[in-house]
Amino acid sequence: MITDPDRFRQDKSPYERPNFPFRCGRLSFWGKPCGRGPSSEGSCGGVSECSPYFNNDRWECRRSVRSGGPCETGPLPDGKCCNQHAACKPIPSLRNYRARFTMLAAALVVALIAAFSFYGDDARAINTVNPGELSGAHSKFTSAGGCATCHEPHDQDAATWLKAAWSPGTLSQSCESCHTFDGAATAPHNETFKTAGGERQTKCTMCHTEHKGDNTSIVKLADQQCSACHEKAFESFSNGHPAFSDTYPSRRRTAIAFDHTNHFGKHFEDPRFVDRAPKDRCVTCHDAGLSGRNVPVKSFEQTCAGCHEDQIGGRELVVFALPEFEENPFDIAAVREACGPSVASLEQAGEIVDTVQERMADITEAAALKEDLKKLRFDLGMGDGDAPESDEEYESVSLEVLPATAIMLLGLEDGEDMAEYSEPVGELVMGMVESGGEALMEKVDGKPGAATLFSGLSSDLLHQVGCAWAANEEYEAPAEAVAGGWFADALSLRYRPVRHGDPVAKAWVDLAAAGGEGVSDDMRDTILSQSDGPGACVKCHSVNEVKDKPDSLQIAWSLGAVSKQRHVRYSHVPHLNLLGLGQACETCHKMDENAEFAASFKQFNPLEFASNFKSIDNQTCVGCHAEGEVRQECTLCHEYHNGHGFKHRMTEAGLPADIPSPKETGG
Amino acid sequence: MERPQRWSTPFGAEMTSEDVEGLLRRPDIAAIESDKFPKHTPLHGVLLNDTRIVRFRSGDIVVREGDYGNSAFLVLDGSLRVVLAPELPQSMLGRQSRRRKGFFEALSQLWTNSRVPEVRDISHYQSQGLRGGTGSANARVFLQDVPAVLDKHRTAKLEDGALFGELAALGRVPRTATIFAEQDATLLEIRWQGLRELRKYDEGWRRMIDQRYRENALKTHLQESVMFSRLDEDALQAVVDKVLFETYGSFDWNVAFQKQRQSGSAKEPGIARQGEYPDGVLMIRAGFARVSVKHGNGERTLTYLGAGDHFGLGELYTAWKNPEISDIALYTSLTALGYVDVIRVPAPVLEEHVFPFMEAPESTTMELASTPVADDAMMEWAVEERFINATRSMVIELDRCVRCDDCVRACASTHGGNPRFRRHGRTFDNIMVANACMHCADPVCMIGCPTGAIHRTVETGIVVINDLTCIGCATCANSCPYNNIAMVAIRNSDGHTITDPNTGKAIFKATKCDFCDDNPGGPACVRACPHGALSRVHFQDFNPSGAA
Amino acid sequence: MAQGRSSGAIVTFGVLSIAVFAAAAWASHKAWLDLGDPSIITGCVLLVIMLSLGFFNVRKRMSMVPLGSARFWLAFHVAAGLLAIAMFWLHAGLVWPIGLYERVLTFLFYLVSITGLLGYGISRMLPRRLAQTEIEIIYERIPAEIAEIREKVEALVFECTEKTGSDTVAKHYIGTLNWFFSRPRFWVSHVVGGDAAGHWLRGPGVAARRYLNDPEVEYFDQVIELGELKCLIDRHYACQGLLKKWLLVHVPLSMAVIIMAVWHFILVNVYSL
Repeated sequence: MITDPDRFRQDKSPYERPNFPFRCGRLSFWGKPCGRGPSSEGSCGGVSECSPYFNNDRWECRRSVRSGGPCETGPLPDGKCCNQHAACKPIPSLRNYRARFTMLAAALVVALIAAFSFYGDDARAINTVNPGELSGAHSKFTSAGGCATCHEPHDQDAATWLKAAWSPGTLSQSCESCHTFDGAATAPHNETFKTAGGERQTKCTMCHTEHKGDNTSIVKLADQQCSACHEKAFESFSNGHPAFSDTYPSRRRTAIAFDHTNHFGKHFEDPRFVDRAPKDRCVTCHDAGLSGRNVPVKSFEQTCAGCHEDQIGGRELVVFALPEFEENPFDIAAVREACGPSVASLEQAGEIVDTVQERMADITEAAALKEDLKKLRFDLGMGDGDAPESDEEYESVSLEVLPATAIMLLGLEDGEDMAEYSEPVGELVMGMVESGGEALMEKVDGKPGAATLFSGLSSDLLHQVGCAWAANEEYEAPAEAVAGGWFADALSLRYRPVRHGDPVAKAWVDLAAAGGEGVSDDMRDTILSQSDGPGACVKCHSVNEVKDKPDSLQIAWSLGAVSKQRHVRYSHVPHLNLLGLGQACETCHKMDENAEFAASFKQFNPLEFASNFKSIDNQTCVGCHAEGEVRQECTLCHEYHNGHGFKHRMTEAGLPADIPSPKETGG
Repeated sequence: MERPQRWSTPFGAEMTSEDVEGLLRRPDIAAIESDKFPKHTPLHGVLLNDTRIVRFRSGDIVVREGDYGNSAFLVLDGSLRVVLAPELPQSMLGRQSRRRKGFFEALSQLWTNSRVPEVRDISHYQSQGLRGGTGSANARVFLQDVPAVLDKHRTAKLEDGALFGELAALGRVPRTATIFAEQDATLLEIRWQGLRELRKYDEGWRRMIDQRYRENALKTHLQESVMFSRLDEDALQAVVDKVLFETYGSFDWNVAFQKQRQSGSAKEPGIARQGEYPDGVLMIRAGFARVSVKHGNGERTLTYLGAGDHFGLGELYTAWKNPEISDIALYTSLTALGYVDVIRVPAPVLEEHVFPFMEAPESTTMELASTPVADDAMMEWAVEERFINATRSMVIELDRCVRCDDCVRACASTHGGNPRFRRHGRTFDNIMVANACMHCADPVCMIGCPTGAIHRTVETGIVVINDLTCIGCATCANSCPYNNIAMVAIRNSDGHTITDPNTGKAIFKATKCDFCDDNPGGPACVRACPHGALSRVHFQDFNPSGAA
Repeated sequence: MAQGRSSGAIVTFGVLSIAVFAAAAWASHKAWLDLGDPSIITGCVLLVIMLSLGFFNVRKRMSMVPLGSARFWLAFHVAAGLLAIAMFWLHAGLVWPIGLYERVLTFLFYLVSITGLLGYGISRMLPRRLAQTEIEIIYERIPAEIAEIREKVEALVFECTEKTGSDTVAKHYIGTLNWFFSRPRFWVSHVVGGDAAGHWLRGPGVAARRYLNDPEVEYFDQVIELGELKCLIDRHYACQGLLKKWLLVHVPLSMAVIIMAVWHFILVNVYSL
């Protein structure tokens, strides 16, 4: 007992063996253990206290000293120990239990993992492996394909599955089975950059995290993370963002040379026009109501037409004029044959008939008469062979020079060299006589807008004009007024634009602007003249250089140059909703009275531009977008991706079974 | 007066009066003046009860270098050899040839350790040179090839009438040489009590023993002391010639100590008494002595002295410095804790050879008396329990120990799956001295081992038991006053107890902590304690965190 | 002395843990800034910490080789355990995750953490209470000790009946005391440091004393004295038992957590990396 003075004696207190996995079963009944102890397998160590020894014909007790030494009774006659007791059921030690529990826990976990991971259909497997619900955007279309929709190894056999553990992930490739971009999916911003940072490979998972629950955004990009690539680090938009460019947002020239300063400062103030001045200022012309980044200008009819519509029809284009000749370039006989008797010739024929009648009275002059009749036949278009010799000296009806357009059409080098042009002009006029418009069409064959250049030009008119000119006569136009379109006056073929956006005029202007073979500076100057060009198009539509084509120009027909900054976004609507339409625009867009606006349209570089408006700087935005005020994170204004789209058409049926449907570009 | 109590258990059970008569006929025994012996301890009685005649066969090892013994031998017949140089290898002496295991060898115990307790492969026991019957004190380790030993080692012959082993028997010092029987020999083994009587009552024996002691041991011993280290050869010889040596207490104090434990009465032989006149400095040569001072109605222990310590120097020095003080007296008392071997250096010797050259000794014992007694309780207890003997006692701090038994399991893992200590023991305050071998400064367990299976290792001085030569006689286990040696019944790998086929009795082996001597990294128990509660301490240096 | 060394180790490992946490947090923040996956770093660190926490148990089995003192291992275990909790939050980013598997893992992890903290708490607290009983007994020997006390008590009761001829003590023993002596009692009270056992002994336990004469009282008082001894042994039984039994929860759960964490690691590598 614990109070015994000799309790520590070596023969009373054997080694305690905590490393032994079993204890005597008697301990579980709060009894004393026997001296033998359990075996290492966990069975009772023995039911007797000793194994008697047979010595000299008698059994001797061999009970150990620890169990009390030889007993008084001694062994039974058959050599068995006299102290038999019931076998106990040894109890495992606490550590043994611990080891068992641990093994059990391990086995249970392994079994549960195995049961849930490798057993059951996909839906169930998803439930166990799934680290969280998919976002609403993705949850719908995975129902058919399950995990394998994105996680390629999921459906593979165990070996491949496990192998995926140390092979690089294919998750980003999986995204590409639905998502498309204008550039490589794994390139930063889906762009090709020249700088070193552009070589870095990106993964969708860098910014997008799924399985964070139904209502969680899968994009969580903090401003600081942009600095992963962008070397210029700054705290926030309001604090350290690089300044906007000096010309922001009007980096390029506007398409229409609308001088806001001039209009607002002068014309709209002019009492003559004041009733036509825009009542709602900006939004009268600008359609801001639903605008995103670009605010469209309303149509010409709704805007400029109020004052400037009339100015379009007033400018004609002289396409062709009959030049002066030294000699008649025409084969009179051919002309007569093609055109029939001209008015003049009929008059002449009448005179001849009169003369013949006179001569018939005095028949002696038979030879002369014969000659007269021959002439008469000719005038009536019945003659054959050579034209009758005229003793008159040729006198050209026209004293005009060839217009630049005609020079281009005829492919001449010098429109003033009579000797050079006589023949081609003659041929052209003859062509007009003989085949009408085709003659002209031939000349512009292969030129840009060829189909439109002579659209609406009647062959009849050309025939008549040609016959007149070939006969060295002035064309007499019909008396009625010309509203617009093709017409001819005495010695020229002209086009008068019908309305705003007239296609023929546009075609000629485009042709002149594009330049190229045959288009002379003279022709350009004529057509692209702000004051005298056809329709005065370029008075408002800016003429721009064409990149990589030094001799070409381009007319900005359409409104507003769309910004090519793909990674910047701005939406007017929320701003206007907040600030209110009307005056709100001028919160940011402030007119600049001193800008040399008009001057910038006198040259062709669209980037050399002096806007009517002062440029917008950061501070304008920072006024609201700042610490503690309106949001100012990078992604508010910057769009990461370049042209994000979907490969498949989203239908209610989920993913189409058959791939690939035509590319559909969406938001 | 009655005859000595010890004579009720004579040294040799087979000694007869005829044997004694035979001995008395030998000239060297006959020279003893029997009439000088008192009536209650006559020479005849001494010879009959305190000696025995033992026979050694050629090759038998009689005493081993490093062993502790409680008897001396007188050669009666035959010849013996003392091995001078080089020493015999440990394995020849029946000792374990210890080799530290490598890391992986140690690690292999992870799977080689048996789940069955105390498994032994008995085939290993065959190879050991052991004869004379297991379980009895007659078992001997013998040298299998004596000529080869004589060839390789320088030896000296011992013949009839030679006495050896008396220094170890009287002085509690290890045997200094190994002696084996060259031819079959008969020796008279005299136990320490008998030897002490012979020295006490016979002038011739005293002179012989003292002289040999002075010659062989004293000089070196004194030289090692700081006090005498300055002396030249002649001065030292003068000191050697003048010092006295005394022994106090019972040689096998452990027996008395265990009895006293049971009965509760303690009687320590006094060496010097507080207030007495000091006639010399007492140097402790072996054993322990308590320094105490009167406190209230009891004695308060101030400190204890072990081998190499001295007593009374301060007082004598003061007296020498201040000759005007006439009534010089000891400040403290000195009593023997068990057995103490003392050298008394007389005051005149000190005054002549020592004091002139030394600085005033620092007096520490009196300072100890000024502290509150509670501070000393721990030391008082350690002295009381004789833990002062420990050089590596296992001390467990009970307020930190979570009783996880990791220490015991670690012990088992390094000892073939068997623990080698029991995690219980005497407690004091928050500390417990567990029943693990303390590797005593004075290893009484080693006295009387017939085969030398229990021994100190040469390299580390750790007390180990060679399982191969242990015959299970339990002498050591019974001697250990701390109950730190346990006898275990060995089993085969099936779990069956191995028995002696001749008697049907289980075969036992003595087991104890070996301080993981053959394992890398020191004692596994200390390493295994996650709470730092267990430490192995030398009690002199022990300062538990709980106390103070 | 030992205390100082031990708490030194705790402080060292604590500082080290904080350093590891700071480094991991910094690295993961850095990875996050760099558009990497911070949870890979924190996850790997956490897995390594978990495995090294588990290695404490392996270390205990390998005491035969010098793998460092268990004291340092425990200090490491405590510091790394706390680090693991912090690391877990850093890794998961939330206290309670979304997925089913992760929730099970988290739940088990929290259980392991809580049992660990409680275990460490009782490991510091209960030994002091045990030391204050002034007796010391090996847990496995408690049933035998109680059996011996019971035997002694029953012998006393028997002797009392025999010598005094009165069965009052015997009846009281059979009716009341036997319940107390049959096995350890008042477990909860002993664990929380109460004295319900002593209270019981001084109340119902001694109820029969007033009906005894002097010789009977002599026996009876010996019985009660043994009862008081048994109270101390019961305290050892309760406290030592708790010191061992908390590991019955902590260790198996740790195993489950480690396996689940490894599987989680594999899953993440298969599905995500």
